[in-house]
Amino acid sequence: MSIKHIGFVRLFATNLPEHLLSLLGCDLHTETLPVRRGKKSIFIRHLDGGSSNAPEMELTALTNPIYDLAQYGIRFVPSPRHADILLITGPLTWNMLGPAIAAFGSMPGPKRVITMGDCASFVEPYAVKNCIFSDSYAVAELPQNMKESIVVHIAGSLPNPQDIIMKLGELR
Amino acid sequence: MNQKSSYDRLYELAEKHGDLLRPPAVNHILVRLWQEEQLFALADSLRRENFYLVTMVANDERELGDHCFKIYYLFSHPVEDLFLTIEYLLESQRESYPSIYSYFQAVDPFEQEIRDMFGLEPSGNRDDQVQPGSRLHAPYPCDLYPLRRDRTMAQLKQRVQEYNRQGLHRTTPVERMQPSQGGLLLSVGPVHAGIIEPGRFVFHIAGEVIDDLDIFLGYTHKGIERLFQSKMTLHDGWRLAEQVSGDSAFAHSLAYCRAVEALAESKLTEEAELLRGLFLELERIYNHVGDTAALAHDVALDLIASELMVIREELVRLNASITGHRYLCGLNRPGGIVLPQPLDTDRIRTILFSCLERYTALTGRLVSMSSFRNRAISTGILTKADALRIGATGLAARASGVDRDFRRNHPNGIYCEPWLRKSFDSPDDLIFADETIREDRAGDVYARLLVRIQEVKSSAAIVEKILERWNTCPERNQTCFLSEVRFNSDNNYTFAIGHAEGWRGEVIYWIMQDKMEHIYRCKVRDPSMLNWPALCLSIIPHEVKGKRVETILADFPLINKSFNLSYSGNDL
Repeated sequence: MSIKHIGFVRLFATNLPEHLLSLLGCDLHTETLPVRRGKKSIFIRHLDGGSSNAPEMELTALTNPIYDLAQYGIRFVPSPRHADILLITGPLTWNMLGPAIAAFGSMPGPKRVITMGDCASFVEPYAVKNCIFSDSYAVAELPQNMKESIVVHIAGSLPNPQDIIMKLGELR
Repeated sequence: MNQKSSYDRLYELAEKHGDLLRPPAVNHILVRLWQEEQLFALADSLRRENFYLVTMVANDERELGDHCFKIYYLFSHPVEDLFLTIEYLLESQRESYPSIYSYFQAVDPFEQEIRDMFGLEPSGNRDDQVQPGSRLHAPYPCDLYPLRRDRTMAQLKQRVQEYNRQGLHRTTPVERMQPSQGGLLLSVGPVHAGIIEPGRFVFHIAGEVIDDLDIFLGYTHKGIERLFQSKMTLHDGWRLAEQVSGDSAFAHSLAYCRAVEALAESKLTEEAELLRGLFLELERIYNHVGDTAALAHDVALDLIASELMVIREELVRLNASITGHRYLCGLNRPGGIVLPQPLDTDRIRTILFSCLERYTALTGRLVSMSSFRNRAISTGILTKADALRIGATGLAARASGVDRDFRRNHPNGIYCEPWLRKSFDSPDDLIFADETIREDRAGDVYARLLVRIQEVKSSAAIVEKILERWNTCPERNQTCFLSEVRFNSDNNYTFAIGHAEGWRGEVIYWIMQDKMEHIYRCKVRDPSMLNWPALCLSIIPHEVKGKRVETILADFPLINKSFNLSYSGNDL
């Protein structure tokens, strides 16, 4: 047992028979992707701009012992007041525009925004043509100052956790 | 003596009160009413017979033959596979309709939605007026009515944009609220501290006890029902159906496809039905495992929570490896199912049963831990009487002792098959039979967890049976199982119903066909819509077996998680 195997989840995972581990296509020890070595930590505030709840499930999955987002120095925080980054999922509905502006306003500077998912039709350079929600009367536009603060867009109709980590890894 | 069948009795009842029309299916009766008295009399009889409301649909048919708005009520027989639709015609130019709230409280969320989307007011029989604002909040002009057909989507969009440019905002109901004497208002949301969907909860608290709770939703309102009719055809609407609620993507697209197939009267192959059953159960399993993990996390049992989260991750990876999508999107089509590669049954069996074994061991530890039992038992009780009164459904209702499951009550696809039904009824391992266990019918957080655990087991048993059956199918190495879907223009402006028992409860799609294979109206009903009021009832002070039960604020997150309702599926 190497030092990698210390910790309860590792112990539990190593109890699995070998053939099972290979079937799963991965071993269940925490996967480490080659990103963000030796950089400063990032606090992210998540904001649901009217997504179907799938992006939330994936963001929650990031905190599980397999992806273990904390190992990259990235953490989801409960308030925008101590967040470096606002992560917006979904197409941003009119009903959520007010709360989004309020959350952005209460962040300390420098404020940065990440958008996630193909239904984020407001992200100009990345906007998906024929996005399913872009015609809807209920979908608003992001204010100019928030648009300018977008540093990363995580594309995909539902980006999987590895892709999200790789994209977050681009952050400085 | 020969007893009359339920169908005949309902037929006579409906005939007595209104005009019978050609129903959309054989187990369905469609009756047209146009007078208030008829509606009340029929609703009263239905309540006496213990029918329950499944969905309620308003429809703008002013440009069609009857030149009026219509309200459709879909009721189900309490036990048998029998539906009744009431088609209620509003007088032309009238914008209000009689409310059957005093007979069926379940209409309340629907009436609120109809108020915003159509501007139709329920009248009489209600103690309070329906307030606007359940879906369209302050940024919308108060007479937008997006589901009326006299404005195009582009006009609606422009109207909302202009309204916001002028900066005219109405006050929201939350701003108008006042705390009770000596109490305190605690407003939480819409942006919550965790990674969850937006909704606002206003607690009226006195000390630690929650006196009252108001839930304001609608923040994720995306105009889905309007998008169905303006952007989608009957063939490709499944794409949008998958976006309604991400954790029930398969159940939603399945219910959508069933409705469309009913309109096209297409027959499916056995393989397609088997796969649909398989994925529906896989979706149930990964969600229940994830919820069990979340419940353990909420009572600070992080060791068990972490192990359960790993199991959940394995299950969604299993989904990804057999279907190409972690949450089972992109499989259903009207007419069948499409796979990216032939089904690898060995893989499913090995991983699923390894997961099940560990899940059983972990949950066995969880439910016997005194610290967990302390938090969960008799917390957030939804009584059976309350569940029946407000028409709660699905898992939450089953945990309160309302024995209702569309897989059994209204079976379609594989759930009709005798080889599977036997497994539903066998006394040993499956959900419904064991009425002797009382803990899982108590309606508290613990009961909802026990029902989840049982359903994971029974779903895994169903998957096992499906896989056995699959290996005898001659076409098991194919990837495309589509039957022909051809729409008949004679069916224009008729409707059909599709349903699927998702993990939260039954998902219902009500679809009316338009000319050129478009959608005239698509009403989506996620089980969350009926269960949000149930969450509220389980938290505010109420009586259980003659004793007053109160909930403290610290228990709210746990109770909320034990229901785990969809915001997106409710707001549409």
